[in-house]
Amino acid sequence: MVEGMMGRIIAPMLRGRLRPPWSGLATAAGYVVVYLALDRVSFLWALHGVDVTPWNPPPGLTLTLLLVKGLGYGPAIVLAPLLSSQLLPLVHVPPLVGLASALVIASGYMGAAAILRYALQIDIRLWRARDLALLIIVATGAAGFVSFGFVAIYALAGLVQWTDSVEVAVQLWIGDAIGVVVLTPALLVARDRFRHVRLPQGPSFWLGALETLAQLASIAICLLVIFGFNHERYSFQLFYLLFLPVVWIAARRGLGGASWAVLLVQIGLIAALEFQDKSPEITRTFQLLMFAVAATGLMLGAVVSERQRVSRALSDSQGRLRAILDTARDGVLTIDNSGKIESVNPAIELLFGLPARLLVGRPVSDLLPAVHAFERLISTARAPLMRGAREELDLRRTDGSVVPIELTVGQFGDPGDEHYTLVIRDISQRRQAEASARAHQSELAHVSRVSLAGGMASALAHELNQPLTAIAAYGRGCLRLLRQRAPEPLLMKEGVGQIVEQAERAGDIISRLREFVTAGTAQRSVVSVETLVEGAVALAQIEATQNGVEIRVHVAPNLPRVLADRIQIEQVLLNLLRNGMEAVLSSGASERLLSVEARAASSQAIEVSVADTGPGVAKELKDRLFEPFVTTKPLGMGLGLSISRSIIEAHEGQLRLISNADAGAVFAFDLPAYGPVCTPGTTRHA
Amino acid sequence: MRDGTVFVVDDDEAVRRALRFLLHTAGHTVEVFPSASAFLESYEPDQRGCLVLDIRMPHMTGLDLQNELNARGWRIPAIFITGHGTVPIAIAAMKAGAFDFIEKPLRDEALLESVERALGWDQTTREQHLELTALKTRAAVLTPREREVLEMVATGEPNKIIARRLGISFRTVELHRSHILEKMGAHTISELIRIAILLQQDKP
Repeated sequence: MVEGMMGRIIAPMLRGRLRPPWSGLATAAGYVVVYLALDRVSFLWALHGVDVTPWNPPPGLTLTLLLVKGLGYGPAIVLAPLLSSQLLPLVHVPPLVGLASALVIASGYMGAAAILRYALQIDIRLWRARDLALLIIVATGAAGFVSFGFVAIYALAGLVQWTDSVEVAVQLWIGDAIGVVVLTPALLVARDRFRHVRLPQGPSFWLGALETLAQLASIAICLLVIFGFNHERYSFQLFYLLFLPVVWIAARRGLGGASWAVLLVQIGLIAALEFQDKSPEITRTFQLLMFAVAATGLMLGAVVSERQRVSRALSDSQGRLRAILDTARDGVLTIDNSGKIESVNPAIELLFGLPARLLVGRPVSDLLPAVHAFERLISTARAPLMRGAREELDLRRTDGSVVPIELTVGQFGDPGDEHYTLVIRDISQRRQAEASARAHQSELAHVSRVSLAGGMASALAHELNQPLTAIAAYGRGCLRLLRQRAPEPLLMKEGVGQIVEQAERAGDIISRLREFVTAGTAQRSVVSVETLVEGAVALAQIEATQNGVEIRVHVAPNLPRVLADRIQIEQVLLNLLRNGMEAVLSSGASERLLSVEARAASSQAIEVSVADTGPGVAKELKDRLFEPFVTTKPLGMGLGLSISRSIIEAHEGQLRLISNADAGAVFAFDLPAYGPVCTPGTTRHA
Repeated sequence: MRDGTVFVVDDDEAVRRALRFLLHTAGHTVEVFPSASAFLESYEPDQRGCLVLDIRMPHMTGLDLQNELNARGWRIPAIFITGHGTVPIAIAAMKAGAFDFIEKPLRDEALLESVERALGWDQTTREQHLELTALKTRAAVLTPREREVLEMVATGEPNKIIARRLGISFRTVELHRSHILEKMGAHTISELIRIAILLQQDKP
C-alpha cells in the first residue's frame, strides 16, 4: 500500500523524463543559456564578496521550467547555477562550493515546484487568484530556504563572514523572491496566451493599442517623477505613485496586463537604481516596496481575470440555456411568485398559438384550466416529494381546441422571491400510441382466444354432437311412431319435448362459444366474480368431463364486484384451466382435480387462483413462463400465458405462479375491487 | 322381431335416453347404462342381445370394454358409435373383435339394421354353440375304437379301407357305424359326416 501511494506521488513527478530525449535536451540547453544570460544581465554588484543581487530573475525562470515541464529537468537546474558560479568571473568560487550551492538552489525550487504542482495542485495557467497567491507564498518561502542555505555554504567555505551572512541572506532572499514573483507569473501567463491566441479585431484593436501606449507612458512618467529628483526621501514618498499605473493596468487587463506591467516597472526600477548608483541598502528597500507593488498588482490582476472568466462563463451558459430553450420541443415558461408569466420559449408560443409579447406579463391561470390554479401549482413545486412530479391534463387553447399535456413544475430563486418553471409537453402523439397499443393488445387477445377455442375444437365438436345425436334419435323415433297405426301420445310428447330441450342445449354451447371468440374491443363493465368464474368453468368443463377431470369451484361469499372485461378475464381463467388440465392428464395421477378459488386478497383486491394436481412447472421453464413463444406443447404457440399476463396487467393486476410443487402448480391473479371488500369480520349495514 | 335385449352404454344422459327411445319405438327391449363398468357389473353372459356403446367415454372407453369382453370370453356383439375424429379408434375396435361401428350423426336405418344383424348373429352363434355342446356330450359316450372309426368316416373313407387300416373285419366296421349313428342321434351317413366335421373344427 505504501508503495502504491508512493508510486502515485512519484510517478507524475518523473513524467518529465519520459519525454523524447532530444526535445528535452534542447529545452534544458536553452534553459541553461537563458539562465546564464539573465544571471549576467541582472547582476549589479557583489555584496560582502558574494554575487548576490537585489533583483534575481533566474530563479523565476527555474521555477517556471519546473512548473511547466516537470521535475525531470533536475540536472539542468543543478547545472545552470554551477556553470554560473564557475563561468561568470565576478567572484571566484571553488567548484565544490559552487556545486553545493547549486544543489541547494535546485532542491529549494524543485521542492517548491513539487509542493505547488502535486500537494497544492495549482493550475499553472493561473486562472484562479488562489493559484497565484499560493505561487507567491510558496516561491517566497523557497527563496528564503535557498538564500539561507546558499549563504551558509558560502560562510562555511569562508567566502562570507558569518557576521555579514544574515544581511547577505536577506538581500538574496529579497532578490530571489522578487525575481520569482515578477518573472514566473509573466512567463506562465505568456505561455497560456501563446497557446490560446486571440487576435483583436476592428476599432477595438486601435483603441486597445492607444490605451496600451497610455499605460506604458504612465509607468514611464511615474518612474520619472519618482527618480527625477534624485533624492532618497522624495523617492520613497513618491514610490507609491507606481501603484496607479499597475492598478490601472491590472483592472483593465487582468493578470496578463498586470504581469507585464510589474515586469516593466521592475526593469525600469532596476535601471533607475543602477543609473543613480544607489547604495545596496536603498536598493534593497526599493525592492521590498517593489515586492508589495508586484504582489498587489498581480493579485488584483488575477481577481479581475477570474471575474472576467466567470462573467464570460455566465454569458456562455445563458446563451446555451437560450439555445436549448429555443430548440426544445417542450414548452417552458417561468412565472414569478404572483403568477405572472416572465418568459416563454418558442414551443410555448406554438402550443398556445400566441406570440411571446402577448403571453409575458399575463397571469398563468389565463392559460391553464382553473382546477390547476396558481396556488396548486406552487404547492406542487414546494413539496419536496412532488418536485419533478408530472401531471397530465387537458389544455384548452384560445381557438377552443383541446390538447392533452403533461405538466412539470419546478422552483428556483431565493426564499421570498421564488420563481417557478412550468414545463409543458404535448402528449397527443403519446396518447394516440397508447390507444393503438391498447387496440393491438385487444386484437392479440382475440387471436389468442380463437386459438384457445381451436385447441378445444375436438372437445367442443363432441359436446355438440351429443345433443345432435339425441335430436336425430328422438326425431327418427317419433317418425317411426307416426307410421304406426295408433301412435302413443305420451311417447310422442316425450320425444318432441326432448328434441326441443336438446336443440336448446346445442344452442347454448354455440352461443357461449360465439361470445367467447367474438372480436370485441376491450369493454369494461362491473361484473361479479362468480359470473367470471362460472363463464370460464362452463367452457372448460366440456373438455374436463370428457377427460375425467374434476373441476371444483369455491367463490368466497359477499365478494365485491370488479371492473373488468368479462371475456378477457374468462379467457385468462380458461387458459389457466386448460393448462392445468393438460398438466393433470400428463402426470397420469389418479387424482385428476382442478380447484378454482376466488377470495379477497386485501381490502382493495380480489385474488382468483387455479390449482392443479399435475407434476408442477419444470424448473427450466419457470423463469421464462410468461415470455411469449415459450411452450411445452407440440402445437402450442406459447402465447397463452404471455397474453394472459398482459390482460391482467391491463386490469392493474398481476398474474403469477404462486406455488409450484410436485403435487401441482397454483397460478393466481388479482383484480382491483370495484367498491369496498366485505371481509367476514365486517358487518354490512343494510 | 328377434329375441334379445339391446344394451346401450353412453355417458351422456341425453344420448342414452334418446337411443332408448329410438330402439324402443323400433320394438326392441332396451337396457341403458351410464358407463362400461356399470354394464359389466349387471350383465350375465347368458343374456341374449347386443351392445350399443359410445366409443368415447371417460374412465373406460368403448375399446377398453371390448378388450374386457374378450378377456372374459363373453361373445356379445358390440356396435360402436363414433363421433368426429374417432374413426381410427373404431377400426382398432373392429380389429379387437367389435361387431360394427356407426358414425354420428346417426342414421336410424343404419343403427337399426346393424342392431338387427347383431341380434341375429347373436342368436345364430348361440344356437350353434348349443348344438355343438349337445354333440360333444353325445360324442363323450363313444368308445375309443368308435371315435377312430368316426374320424375316418369323416374323411370319407369307404368301409373296406377303414377295415384294412384298422385291421378289423368289414362286418365289425359296419357294426361300429350303426352304433355311432345310434349314439350320435344321426339318421344318415351324410348327417354323420357333418357332425364329424363340426367336432373336428371345434378341436383346437
